[in-house]
Amino acid sequence: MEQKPKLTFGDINFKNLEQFKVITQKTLPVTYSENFYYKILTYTDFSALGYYNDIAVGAITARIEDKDGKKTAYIMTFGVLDAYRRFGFGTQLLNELINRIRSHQEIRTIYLHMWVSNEIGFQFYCKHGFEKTTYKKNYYTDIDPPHCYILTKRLYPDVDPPIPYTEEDAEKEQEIAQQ
Amino acid sequence: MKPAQNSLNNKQSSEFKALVKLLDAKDYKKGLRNTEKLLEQVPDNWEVVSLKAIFMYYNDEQQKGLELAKQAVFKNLGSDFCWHIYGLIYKAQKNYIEAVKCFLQAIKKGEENIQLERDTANLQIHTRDFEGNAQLRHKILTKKSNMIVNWIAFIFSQHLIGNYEIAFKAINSAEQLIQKDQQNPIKKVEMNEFKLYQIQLAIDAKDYQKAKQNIITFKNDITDMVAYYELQYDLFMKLGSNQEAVESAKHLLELQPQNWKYYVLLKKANPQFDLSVYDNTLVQGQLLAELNGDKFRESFLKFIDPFFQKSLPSLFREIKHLYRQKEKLDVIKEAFESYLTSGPIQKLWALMLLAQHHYQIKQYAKSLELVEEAIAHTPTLHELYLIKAKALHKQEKFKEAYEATDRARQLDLADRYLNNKTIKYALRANMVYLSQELLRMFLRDGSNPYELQMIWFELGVGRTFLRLNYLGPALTQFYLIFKHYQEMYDDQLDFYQFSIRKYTLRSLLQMFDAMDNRYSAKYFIETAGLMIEGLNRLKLKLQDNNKVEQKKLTPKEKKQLQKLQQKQEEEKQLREQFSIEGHIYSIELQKKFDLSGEYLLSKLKTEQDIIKMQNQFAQVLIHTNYNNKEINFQAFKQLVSFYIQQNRPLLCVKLLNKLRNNQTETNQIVNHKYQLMIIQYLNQYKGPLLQYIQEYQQDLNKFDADFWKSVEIKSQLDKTIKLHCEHILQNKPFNIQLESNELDFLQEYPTAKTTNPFYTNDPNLEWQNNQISQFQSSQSTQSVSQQQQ
Repeated sequence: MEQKPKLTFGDINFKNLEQFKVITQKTLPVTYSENFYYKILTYTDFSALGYYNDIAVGAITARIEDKDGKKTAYIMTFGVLDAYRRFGFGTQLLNELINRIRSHQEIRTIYLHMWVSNEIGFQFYCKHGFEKTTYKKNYYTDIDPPHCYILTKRLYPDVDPPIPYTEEDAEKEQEIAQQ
Repeated sequence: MKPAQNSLNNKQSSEFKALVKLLDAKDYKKGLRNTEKLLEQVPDNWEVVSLKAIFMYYNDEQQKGLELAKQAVFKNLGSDFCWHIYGLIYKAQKNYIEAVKCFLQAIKKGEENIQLERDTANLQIHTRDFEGNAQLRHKILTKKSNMIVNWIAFIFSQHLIGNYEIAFKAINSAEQLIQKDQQNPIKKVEMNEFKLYQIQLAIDAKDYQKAKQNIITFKNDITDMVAYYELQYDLFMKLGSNQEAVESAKHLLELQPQNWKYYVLLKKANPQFDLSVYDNTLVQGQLLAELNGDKFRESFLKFIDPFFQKSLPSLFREIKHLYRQKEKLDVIKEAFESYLTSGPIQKLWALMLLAQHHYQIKQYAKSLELVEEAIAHTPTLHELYLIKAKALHKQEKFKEAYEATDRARQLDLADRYLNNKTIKYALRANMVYLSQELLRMFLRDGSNPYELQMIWFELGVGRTFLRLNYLGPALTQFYLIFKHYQEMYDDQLDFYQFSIRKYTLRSLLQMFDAMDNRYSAKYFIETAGLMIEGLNRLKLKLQDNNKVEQKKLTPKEKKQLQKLQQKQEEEKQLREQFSIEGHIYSIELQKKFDLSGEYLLSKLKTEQDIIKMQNQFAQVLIHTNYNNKEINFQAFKQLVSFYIQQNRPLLCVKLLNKLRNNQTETNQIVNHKYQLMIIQYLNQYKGPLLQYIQEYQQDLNKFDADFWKSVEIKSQLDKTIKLHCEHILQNKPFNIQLESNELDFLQEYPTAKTTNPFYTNDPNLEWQNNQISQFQSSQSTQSVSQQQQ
């Protein structure tokens, strides 16, 4: 058996933005606006393209947010091209992100939105220490079912307390906000 | 320059000196004014008249200036000054042959001016007057034999005329002088060049023993070992010492193991040499050609496997040469297919290689299918889009081909190669404006393709305009390229002076070679062919116009005139479209390079003008030869009707031979048609020099019938050409435009009128405008996002 294939990582910049765009379009069910892609260029510190044999096969992007006065990392997009799944590339991309985040001690958690029907995704995140922390109803507008989970990973679970599980409804929140 | 001696008093003489200073300072306006003042006092002084002449020349009265200078010389044949001025004007006109003659007169008439002698010697090199150069260099050497540069120039001049013994002796003196010159010690690279030159000189002199001696004694002075071993190889081969030549080739391979040229040299020195001892992909790939059957299959699989494991997308390049051997194709295909079921990257390479495989064997639809599958598998690999574009191009889907390359370009905006490819495909889809925009992204601010002499781009633009029958701009592009080639030759002027100072005489010799063969270059031959074709169309258009003008009009002809005027209106609109949107360049730049072709067309008002310019290109083209038969043929065929119309039987014979030498499987049918045209002309020829022509006269019907027996008519184009041939045999007219490229053109533009090759509007305009606006919007978002960063 040959060695486990290894990814190398590169920045996303405006010269190769199209590659990121292609990977995102091919791997995520959501359609993003052009504007979203150009915005990605402002979050380059925690974003990377994963190259296998010099070919971009996956990408992960994240930004740092303030949540109740605490810093947390939010994964915006994360995907590996179909043909290159099951080779551990997702794990390598995620680990790359986690390593980058760990160099900033003030960031304690990583979270993301995951579509409720994404069973394979859930197994993957579970394996990497993510937990369901929120069930968010009506989060999506263009896919069915429209609900999602918020998955969170505590980077320092021995020190930080567990996060309680909550339920939210995006539609209701919006109604409240409108009122 | 020394002042005039006769008939000037002291005051006038110092004024004269002041005028010469103004000439040196290039203050031509003031110079002309002051000369005229002085002439009022001494109207008969022809040396002052000479000065007036050159000042006039530089004040935009070029023809008058030259005339006046000539007059001054003839009135005062003994004056070296007048001759010198006359020569300077010729030199400014770049008429170096005449300039040299004048300068030599000035020197003969006694002007003691070593600078002038050096200049003249330089011009002699430029005009390849090696005899004259040797004489002058000898003269300069005897005057200033303490300068090393004069010795070097003298040695070189003797080398050029084959006086090797004298050159060898002079080398000894030069060496001594170099040793003595402690103040300016010779640099290591200069010594290296000088020693290599001496070896070369001995080889050229066929003094092989001396060359051998040189190779041994100079080794420590030489740093450029590649040049050293190349010379050594050359020498040993000339001496017939193949075993030693093998050793030289081996040394070269140690230095450059990836240079196939040296393996060829090695094989040439020893045909039995087993190259397989060189275990690199280049050699192993090339050696596959020599294997057959199971041995080939086994070796091929062994050869390609590492590529699939390490994933080097360059594999196809290494094995492309095998496609000449049809029996290997199935093995190759099966080998690629065996990787379809391995890992993902192996599958990707297999799909990509199979797409290339089918492209190579001209199955473009299959190639496209495979490359689409590869793109679905890995949409981030830009190479795939280029393969797709190539196949689409072959299917004449030029719009789609552009879109595919543009996709590749967008995937890596930093890649200049992808950008250039996109430009080429944009031009093929008739998008001049967009191609200019794309090119600008990789040019520094303020520069443009015309100043940079980007011939590939100009040729592409010219082709596009010609395709659209937009003749002015098309001819301009070709004319600019022609001028670049002339400029290239003129640029040699400085290199001689440089080389004799820096000892780079071997490079100088190489440059002579390159320059003397500069027109046998792919781009020039293509350009000349297209220029002649464009001028032909211009001529037809002119004849069209004249026909209508000359007659009294019947109602039918009135209608024709109306039609013509409508066409001209269309053309005008097209011109506006191209001057507004067709050029990203400033009005000044458009004017400077005459991009609209207005100035060029103003010089091509009569049929005679057009023929004169065609001849200017034809004269050069007929003597060229490039190592691609297809390119040669496409250009040479343009000469056929031109030389027939010009009634030039001997040139037609030369052309006939050229057509025959450039016959290929692809062009044989079209080629036959042109041969037929020439032979028919020669058959009917009855003029002088008939004895040289008779050899080529033959029974036309038999020649034609024999030809069609041996070829297979495959396409619509073939049928059209056969019809043309029948028309030729029956002396009936036909439209010569409708073949090969031109037929493509008609397929691309189904609405184009076949009977009139002029003024075609591009039906793809809407699509083109879409592409432009897409490009512009992406540019603006990119620049905004860059600013944000």
